[in-house]
Amino acid sequence: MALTGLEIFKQLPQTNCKDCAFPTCLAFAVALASSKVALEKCPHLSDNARAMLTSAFAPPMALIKIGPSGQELAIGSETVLFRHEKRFEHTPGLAVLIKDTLPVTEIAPKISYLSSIAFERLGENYGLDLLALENCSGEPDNFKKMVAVALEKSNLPFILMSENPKAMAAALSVAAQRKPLIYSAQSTNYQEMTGLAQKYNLPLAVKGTGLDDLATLVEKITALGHEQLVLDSGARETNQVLFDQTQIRRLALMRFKPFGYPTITFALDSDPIQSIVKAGIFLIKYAGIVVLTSDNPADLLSLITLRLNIYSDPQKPMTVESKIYSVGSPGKDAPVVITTNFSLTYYCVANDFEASRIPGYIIPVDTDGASVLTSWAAGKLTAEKISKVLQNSGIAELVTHRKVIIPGGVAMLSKRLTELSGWEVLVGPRESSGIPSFLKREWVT
Amino acid sequence: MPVKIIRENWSGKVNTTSLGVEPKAIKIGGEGALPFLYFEGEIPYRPVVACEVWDEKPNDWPDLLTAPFAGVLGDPVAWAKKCLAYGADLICLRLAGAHPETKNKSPQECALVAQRVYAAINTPLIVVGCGEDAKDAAVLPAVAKALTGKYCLLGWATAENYQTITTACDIYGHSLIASSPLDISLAKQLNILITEMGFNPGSVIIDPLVGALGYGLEYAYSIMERIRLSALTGDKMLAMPIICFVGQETWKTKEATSTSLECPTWGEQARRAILWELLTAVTLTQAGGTIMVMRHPETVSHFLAHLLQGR
Amino acid sequence: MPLFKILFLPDKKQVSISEKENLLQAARAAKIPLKASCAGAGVCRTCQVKVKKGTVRIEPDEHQDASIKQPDKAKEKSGLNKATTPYVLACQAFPLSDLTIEIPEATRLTKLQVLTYDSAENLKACPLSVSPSPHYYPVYLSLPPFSSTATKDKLSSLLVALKQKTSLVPTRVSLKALQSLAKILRPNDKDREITVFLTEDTGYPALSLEEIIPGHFKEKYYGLAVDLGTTTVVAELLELTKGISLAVKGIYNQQLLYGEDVISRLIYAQENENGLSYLQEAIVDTVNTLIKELTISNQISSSEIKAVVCAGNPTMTHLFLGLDPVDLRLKPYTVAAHNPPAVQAQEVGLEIYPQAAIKCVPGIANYLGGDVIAGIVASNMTEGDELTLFIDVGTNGEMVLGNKEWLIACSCSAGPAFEGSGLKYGVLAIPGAIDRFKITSTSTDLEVEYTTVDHLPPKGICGSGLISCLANLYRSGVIDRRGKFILAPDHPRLRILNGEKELVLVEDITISESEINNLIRAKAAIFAGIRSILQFLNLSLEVIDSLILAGGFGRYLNLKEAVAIGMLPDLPPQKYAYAGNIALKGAKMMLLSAEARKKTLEIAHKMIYLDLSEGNTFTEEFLAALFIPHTNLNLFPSLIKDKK
Ligand code: SF4
Ligand code: FES
Repeated sequence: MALTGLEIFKQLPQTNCKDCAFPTCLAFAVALASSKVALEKCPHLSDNARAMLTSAFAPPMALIKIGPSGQELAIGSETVLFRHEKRFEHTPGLAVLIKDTLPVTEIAPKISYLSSIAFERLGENYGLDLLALENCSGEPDNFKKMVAVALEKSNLPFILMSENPKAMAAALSVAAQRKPLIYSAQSTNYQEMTGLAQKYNLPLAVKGTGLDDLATLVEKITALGHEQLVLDSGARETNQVLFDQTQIRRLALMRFKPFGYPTITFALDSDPIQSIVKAGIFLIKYAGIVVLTSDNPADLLSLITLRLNIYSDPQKPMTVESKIYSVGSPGKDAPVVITTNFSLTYYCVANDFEASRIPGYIIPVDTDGASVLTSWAAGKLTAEKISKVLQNSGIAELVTHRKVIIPGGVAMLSKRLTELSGWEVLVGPRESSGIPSFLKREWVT
Repeated sequence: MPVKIIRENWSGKVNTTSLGVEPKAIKIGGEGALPFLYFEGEIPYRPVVACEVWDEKPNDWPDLLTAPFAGVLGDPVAWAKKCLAYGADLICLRLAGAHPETKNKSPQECALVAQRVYAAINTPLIVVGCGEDAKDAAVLPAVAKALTGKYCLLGWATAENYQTITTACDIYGHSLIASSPLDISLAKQLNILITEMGFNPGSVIIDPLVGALGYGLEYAYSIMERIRLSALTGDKMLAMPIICFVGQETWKTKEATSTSLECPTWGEQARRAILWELLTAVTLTQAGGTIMVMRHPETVSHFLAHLLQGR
Repeated sequence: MPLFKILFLPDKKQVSISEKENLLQAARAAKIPLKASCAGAGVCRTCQVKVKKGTVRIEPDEHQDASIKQPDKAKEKSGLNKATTPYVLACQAFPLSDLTIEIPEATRLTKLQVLTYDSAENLKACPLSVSPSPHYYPVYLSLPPFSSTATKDKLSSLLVALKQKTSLVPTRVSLKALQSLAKILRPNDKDREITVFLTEDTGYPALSLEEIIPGHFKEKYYGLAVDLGTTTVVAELLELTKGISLAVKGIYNQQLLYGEDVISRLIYAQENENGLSYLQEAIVDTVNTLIKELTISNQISSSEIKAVVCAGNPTMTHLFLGLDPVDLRLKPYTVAAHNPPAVQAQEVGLEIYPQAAIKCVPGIANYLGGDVIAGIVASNMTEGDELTLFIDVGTNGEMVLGNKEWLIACSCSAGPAFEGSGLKYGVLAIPGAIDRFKITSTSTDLEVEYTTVDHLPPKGICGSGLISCLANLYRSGVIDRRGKFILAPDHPRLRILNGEKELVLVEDITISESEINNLIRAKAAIFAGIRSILQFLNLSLEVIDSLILAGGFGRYLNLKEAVAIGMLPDLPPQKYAYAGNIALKGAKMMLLSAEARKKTLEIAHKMIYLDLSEGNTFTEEFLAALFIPHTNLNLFPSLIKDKK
């Protein structure tokens, strides 16, 4: 389990010598506890302390990279069971499965299409992360051919799926540079597969027939000296996967070595909708890679959105978008209320505004999620900012008057705001609960 | 090599709440484990689906959503029956027409609608007001009285209006929805205020005001996870089952309402919108949600299929 | 531009201003302590004055309330609005003629009770060196007789003697000292005894030889310990050879005319031309006023004051030294110097001995300064192993947790509610302030009993009174756990003003729902700060061995009530100690003891600062604390017990 700042502090020399570039040993300890600094930065550790802290800070789960450097997908290295405890670190990879039994003429366009999918969310592009190329035919040749096509048509990292070491060797002879994930080593083939993974220095997926078998296999493979692993417990049914994933994560966090790797899961139901449901659950519940068959953009869009949600940083304050929100159906003479984009502040204002039964507009100013007084104190809610919002939000086209209501807590901005924006400034109540009576008093009459 | 399975020993569990009248009564809650982790505690009941029925014809629903209810919108009784036919476990009647800005219906009118719907379906009923605190406080007591003995679930009780609604639910024997905006402390505070009025904690259902997929879903997810963890570690004031108004949130997102033409790269609207509602519900049940209030019948059937598959 | 004469009553002070300057500026010039919470933005309405003679022009102002009549539209256009009632907002009124202005009682900052430190009642005694060792100190030297064979000049032989005696070598000798030296120690002078005065600067190698006087100095000389508070400034006069305290005095900080909190003043300094120099002038004037009063009442000459230690928060320290404070407020925060080097009195304008050395107590972060560090030194919490939590319940709500090994600090901006600010009837602990309530509800009404400071008729409610009020309102069922009134709407004590519910407490003293809300937010910020700092280190409340309460409350505070509302942790009362104005005490220790000055620096180096605005721990804790006493009732076991 993670050490607290104080526990670490007890192990430090406590001289406050500053050689670590921190002002005090406690500051260093606290930074170390939240992994903001490396242990080595303190040159004065006793041997005991070093050993103790090194083992405490060994990451519970390896970080595994798939794909050529620069374009690789990094998964694993997770440290918590619940995202609110800290955050989920590495977004799991979404892979779509392509079988080598598909007619050759269809393979190329499918791969091109899959590789081209892109959605914009919050200013960034997201698409598929991996192609899962499966040797369904059992023929090494077919497999190799498909892999060659994929190499040509796509820049995505691959998962090469075959139980047959020969087929795998054939595919790797052309695709090893792409640094694919080898899927999979099983009890029957693990020696050859491990050999291949070692030869090309590639990550290797280990597939067990349950958790016990998986742990055994992992021990055997690590004994052979290979450590870049991805785990598959073999489960496919939703609740079994959930059980296995939960156990693997819990055991990994308790530093059970064989499970200290990211996992791969498969959502390959015949019912297309149910398979997306499954994929969604696996994304939420600890999978490092989710393999599916769908190439429907609606499916991928929803899964990618879900993944973005769950893997966002929960330590960031909750914010709402800075734009015009309407309450009821406001007309040209409706009041305009300014607040901050801290979601709780916004919701309070919106609720109380609604309670007034007077239709109008709310514009939250982007204050990095700080409340009114905090953002004022930190210079994030200024007359300049509000004036810009009045100019750029388009509110001037929605209302004919030029009156803006600002929170009572920042009444002192009113003068300057009038100067800057030319709008008449009304100072609203300090607490949002005063909005209804304020509007009735100041606006309606 | 045998792996030592880790089982948490939880000290608390979620309250069990019963809605409706036998033989059609529905029980929810009672979980002594994290969602779907059957190996480590009791999970006696599956999550349930409530379908939304309005007292008035909604005017901002996209065609995709009104189509399955063609001919029954505006007729809450027929609409409710249709929902049951589509497989809903229970009905959530929304008194949208009570809103002062729409029809501003009187409490008596509202109570009558609720009574008629219940009489027609005889299935556990959720009744929510129009979302305007003061009006809900006026409407719900009348509804509560009209539905005496039917053990319904009434909402929304908020920090502003909980007193009247709590009193009414207490007198007429209903459960209530305690609604607070996306914060574990606010949720707990409201539960304390309500139960300190002498209301049975076992009849409170938490509404954390969830967000839809892509619109703050993750906040709801974590808050619900934390509520469940608190319940399991013995916090009685957070041991209430959770209701999620999934449909209401989903069907205002761009992803659910934009047509295939408007957003060609997003795939077909029908698939996209259903998945949006479905994945929102699935994610929230993974976080501990118990009653999913949904809108589209197709979502309902996929969701139920998913739940039943897992059993 | 013509100047108008403005006469202020009842002070009878007169100043001249132009038509472009408003009456608040005139009051500033006249140094009359007015209430001006919003620093002249025209929104707080605390600066009302009465025009007795003459005419004024009122700035067009949309926020006028009924008490001040709207200027009529036609005149508004001409820009020449005459006020139609004699009461105007000083900050919005400009002279059109000579004026006589009366400042009503309500607008004036009332006389102040000086908050001093408690005489170490609950605190362990602080170790002071046996004899005082101020940073401006005399060294007596007896120089060898003049010898023409030695080529040494006077200064060199003086320095040799100094080194022999003290092993000190000054880094600088003042011209004034040299001038004195030239006049004495003449070749045939028999008397070769002199006293030199040295200034040391903690944290810096500087050692300055400031003064040389003939003979063995046996007179008295004086020093000043100053608490540069945001609201009040308190100074203690000490005799430095024996280390005896002569008197303590406190007055309002004249900067109050530029806004009541540090942020308003920071903004004022940033946005107004010469803003910084006005603010500096205001605080220096404040200290000079104190100096004058102290020296007169003790019959000493101000030029005998030669050493000063000032403890202030970073904003006050910056403004006092005339340092541009803009970077204090905006990210990435930075301060000019955590440990500002000692300066001379004449450089800042203190009217004492011009070369007197002024040292500001070092701070560690933009919102954690010398006032807190001084408090920590005086509290002695860094001496032992036991874990102490130091809480300064001021506007900024600073707290420090630690022991001899480590220290961690944060500041939780509780807001000035407990100083009475933002509340219609909130006051500081002035005579007549209600400091304690007992409210019981009867079948039809409430029974309200109270006590006031100095048993005078009630004027308002001070911080401890507000805490008591909140605790009583909840206990007697007037408000619920969120602070909302739950009385029947027709309750005789409830009334609605401007659409808001307020409760009549005593005569015409009321408290409204949003004021209650303000108090709850303030208490929540303090508790959330405590929880956040503990959580940062994964500690529980129970591990705290002792708590030191510094700042405005002192012993007026009823601990039980502070716990009942959830402001302070529910820990055994014997763990609590009241420290009063411990910043002043720390400044005094530093003035008298080299050891204490050294310790201050050590403490500043050891302490780390936790920025609560990072991450969301504080926000979560804050929301959880917006409840009486707290959302997690288990944190207050004694209250649960009491209920049963
Ligand atoms: S280098 Fe080590 S001993 Fe020195 S301050 Fe940093 S943590 Fe402490
Ligand atoms: S109105 Fe605030 S100072 Fe004049």
